[in-house]
Order: sequence, then structure tokens, then C-alpha cells
Amino acid sequence: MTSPKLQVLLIEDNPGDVYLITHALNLGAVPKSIDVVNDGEAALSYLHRRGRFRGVHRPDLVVLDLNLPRVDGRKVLAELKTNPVLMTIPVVILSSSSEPSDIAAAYERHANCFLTKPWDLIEYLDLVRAIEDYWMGCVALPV
Amino acid sequence: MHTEAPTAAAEILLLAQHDYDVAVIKRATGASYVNVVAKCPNVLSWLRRQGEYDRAARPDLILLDLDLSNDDDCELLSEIKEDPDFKRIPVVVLASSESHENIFQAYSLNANAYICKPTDREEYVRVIRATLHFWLALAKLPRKL
Repeated sequence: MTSPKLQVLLIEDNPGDVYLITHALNLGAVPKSIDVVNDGEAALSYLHRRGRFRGVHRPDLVVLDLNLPRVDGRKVLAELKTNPVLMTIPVVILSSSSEPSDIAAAYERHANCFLTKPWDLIEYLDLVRAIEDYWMGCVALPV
Repeated sequence: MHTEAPTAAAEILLLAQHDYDVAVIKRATGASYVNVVAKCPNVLSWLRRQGEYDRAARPDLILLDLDLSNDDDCELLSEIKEDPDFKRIPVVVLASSESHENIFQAYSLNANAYICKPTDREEYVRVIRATLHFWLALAKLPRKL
């Protein structure tokens, strides 16, 4: 990685999930800066750098929950992946859903991958660590 | 990192241009089924079950050894990712190039992930194992159509 810090955008409304995901990501060795937005509308403002998000960095990786207030995560994904400027940003779906229809629809809309939040806390932490290992350690991101 | 063999019985479709890559990837895949095709047009024939591929298995994961500065390789990736029958199958691009331009190109054509092939053989095996572990053991994959 040539960039000093990876920019991660976490789009997640549940405070418990936000705490757990940011905590687990910050345990990893890759230098990163994590910004959090709690609803789909704020996510779109952030990605388009509108309003209070003027001047934010373009994320190198997005971690997106599907069930979000105001604007649904599915709509955020669709908007990201049909926008010529934003579509190259890899989007990791991290959802409580394991519904085949949600999984298929996410890949159809070009989500980069789909992960289901485990119920077990240790498994959940391990999965978030695996996101870091793979997406920030193995994969070449468009930075 | 993960060194265990990935989930058994997964179907992987691999486009590889060189025997070296096939050997490395087969070493890394353990018990999974790896179907190897060696030319770009054959990947589409495989997915469409045309000609000699009429009984081809639907892959869980597609690994494409591509050179994104080559128009045919870009065309292949975009055809896979635009086809309603198989656009949802995750495609991991394996490439020698580390150029930003090629990496952006791959993501703009909707590659699911881009991996720069390490020149060190053991590191290459490790990266492929990590890829298989992530996609086959951790990620939720779409049901096969």
C-alpha cells in the first residue's frame, strides 16, 4: 500500500454494530481512518461530498449495512454502482440478512461482496478482522 | 493468515494463460474443483454452455488472469458482468499489473476484487488461499441459477 492511510466509510445505523466494527477494524495493523454515517441519506451526502460532508476524502472501501433509516442500503448501493465516479469504490455488504433474495440482489447491483453478521460475538469480530485481512491486506484497492 | 484448505466441493472457473499460474492455483485450492480454461472466448462458452462445454458446471467463483491494458480482456470482464445469467457470480481478477489505471479499469468493469499476483511463489499460493477462504468460507454467495 502506497497511501499512508486507507479511508473507510462505514454506513451502519446500529450503535452496537458501529462500536464493534470500528473496534475490530482498529485492532488491525493497516493504518486507516474510519468515518461513520448512520443513515442512507447521510451516506449519499458523504459520497457526493454535499453539505456538512464537503471536503471529506473519497473512501477507498465502503462497508454498507442494508437496512438503514431514511434511504435504504439497497438504494445507496444502486446509486454508488451506477455513478461513473463512485462505481469503482469497492462495497462490502455487512448485513444481518442471509436471505438468498438479498444476496442475489446485492451481487446483481454489483456489490463487491456480501457478508452476514454472525450472532456470535467472537465470530462477528473474526469476520470484521477478515474484512481487514482480505480487503486491506490482499486485494488491490483503487486508491 | 489463513493456510487451511478452503471449503471442499466448490466449483471454481479459472482463466489462466500460463501453466505456472495453473500449477500455483491448483496447489492452493486443495479439495475444490478447479476447471481451467486457457482462452478468453472459452470462458464465455463455458458460462453459456456452448459447444464442447454443454455440460459445464456453473462456477461458485471465477478467477480471471487478465491484462486490463488488453481490449479483449476488458471485453471479457464486461461481458461476464453485464450478462443477466451470470453477472452475479463473483469475479476475482488476478493480474501482474499494479498500475492504478488497470486497477480502476477492473473495478469500473465491476470486477469484485483485484489481486496483484505476487512474484514470489509461496506468497502467490498464500494470496490464492486467502482469496478462496474469503469467498468460499466467509462470503455469502448467490445461489446458482
